[in-house]
Amino acid sequence: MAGIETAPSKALSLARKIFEEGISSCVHSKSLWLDAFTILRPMFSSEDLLIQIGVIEEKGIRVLTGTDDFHFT
Amino acid sequence: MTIHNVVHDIDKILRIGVSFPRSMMCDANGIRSEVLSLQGSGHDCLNNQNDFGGLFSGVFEQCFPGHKSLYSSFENKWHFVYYLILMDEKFIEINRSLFNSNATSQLTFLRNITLGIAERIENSPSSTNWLDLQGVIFAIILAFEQNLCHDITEAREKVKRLLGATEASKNDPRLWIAYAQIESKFGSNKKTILKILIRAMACLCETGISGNTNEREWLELCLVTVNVIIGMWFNDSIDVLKSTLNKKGQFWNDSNRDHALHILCCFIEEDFSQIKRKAKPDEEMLVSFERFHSCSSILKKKFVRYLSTQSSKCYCAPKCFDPTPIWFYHATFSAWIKILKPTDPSGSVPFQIKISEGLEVSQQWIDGCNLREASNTAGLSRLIHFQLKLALLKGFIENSNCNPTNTIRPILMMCTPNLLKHDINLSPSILMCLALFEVNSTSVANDFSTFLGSKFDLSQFASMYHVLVALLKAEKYESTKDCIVNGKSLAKWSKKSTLNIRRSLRRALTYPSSKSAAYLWKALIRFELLSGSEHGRH
Repeated sequence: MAGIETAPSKALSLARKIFEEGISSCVHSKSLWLDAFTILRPMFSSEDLLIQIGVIEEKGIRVLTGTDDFHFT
Repeated sequence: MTIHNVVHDIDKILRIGVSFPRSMMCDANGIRSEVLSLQGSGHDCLNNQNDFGGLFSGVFEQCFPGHKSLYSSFENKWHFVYYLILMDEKFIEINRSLFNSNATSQLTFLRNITLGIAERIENSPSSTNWLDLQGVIFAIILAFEQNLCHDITEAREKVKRLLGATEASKNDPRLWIAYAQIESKFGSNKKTILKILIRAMACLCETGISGNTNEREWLELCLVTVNVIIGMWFNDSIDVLKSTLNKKGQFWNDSNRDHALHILCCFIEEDFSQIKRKAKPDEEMLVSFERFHSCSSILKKKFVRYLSTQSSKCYCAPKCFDPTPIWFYHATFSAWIKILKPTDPSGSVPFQIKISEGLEVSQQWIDGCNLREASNTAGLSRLIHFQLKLALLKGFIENSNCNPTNTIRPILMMCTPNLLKHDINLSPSILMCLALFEVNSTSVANDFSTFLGSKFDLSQFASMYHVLVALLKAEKYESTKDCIVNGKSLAKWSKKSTLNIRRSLRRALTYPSSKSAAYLWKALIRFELLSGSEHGRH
């Protein structure tokens, strides 16, 4: 994703708008949701992402959560 | 835990996983992560946890006896662990980010659980659902062993035990393929791999193949074996094809050809008693000209039946993990035996690889495909992919320095009308080929403009087709360092081309059913990022 991470901010901003437009039509697409966490990551704050995770879970989409809360040997 | 940490972890873990071969058969589909990610939406094979609850129940105690504190957080959450590893069972999409982290203890934990689950399956009564799960578990074990560089011995022993656990396991070709692939991944030679695959086929001596519940998987195993014999192993990637053909003297000799043809003939004749046979010193070939003709006529009859009865669902019988219909295998067998046809004893022309004949045969099957039957689309998609593979082989054989784009173009032009005429799923292979080969001189824009100016109407399907091509090319650009200029990622598209592509993407999204096509939105997002919005908006 290195190339995309350096995309100009204008492009990122536009891409975010498209993402939001798209997600309203495809709210059950995990693949599309994941764009927010990957290629569009710079456009979302931590709080934004947590809210998104809430929506994702609410829609019944499988989410892989972190493992820091668990203890392993 | 701070919000930042949570997001950091999620950011790390939620990345799109790299696809993993589906039951080890996925390779043959030429499906890769780019395409999979278009389709993947978190399909759950384990939706009905009641089916599998018994299998997983108590797996933590089993793996960590006497150390309840280690797994107390997970207790009764076996699916959590499973989901942590696997992003999408439909295509066995492994969460690759797990392996990118340095969390050794976490990985060890997950690996132990996986092995524990494998052991459960090993000791469980067989059922169809569980056999499906075996394929998934095999894939996971392989992923762990590959990524953690564990000693192959343990994986090998585990898989062997799984294979020998029950009669059902022994008769599950997917497991045999998985076992052979594990061996190949860890450097076993061709002879060893073939020994495994042929040993698997020997199981058919007792059971036969017609009416076998795993008939389609056995046919797949036959194709895999043919690939291994001619040196293409488990992978259909362009690199492997090219590498194989570079060694054509080694792989495409008469002995290999005869052996591959013999395997195909055994399947066509449904006589597996001779499967292990090798050519004796005093006989020239395993497959005589007469035997070849006999098998050809059997396949011709199958073709006639295919044309007349393919609407019958029982003839196609798609399955959960791999929806390929049986006729696909008959089509590929028909093509392969034409390609591997023995030399006419009355003629003086030495053996030649007859790829063109294989291409023609596969086209006949494509032309006869009844796409009104939904289950046929997967077969058609794979068959077109098979055609592409043959076209590449032909190109590489005829001219090792050939331009792949020129090689693929004619076959694309042959396949595209088929695709455009019918409302079927796109062939990932075609898209992959375009994405692979047209990233430099023949730009996205040129290709796109060509299609825009072509005779095809930009119907909904056509639009989606071109959009997907653009997306895959965009993905390719994304991973190409050359397109980063002054620290910016810029695709090499002209203003006119950029506007054309954007317009088409937007136009595609105006179709009612396209509105909910996530990959179109994804395409548009990537397009905007990659084009850098330098050429303005629509």
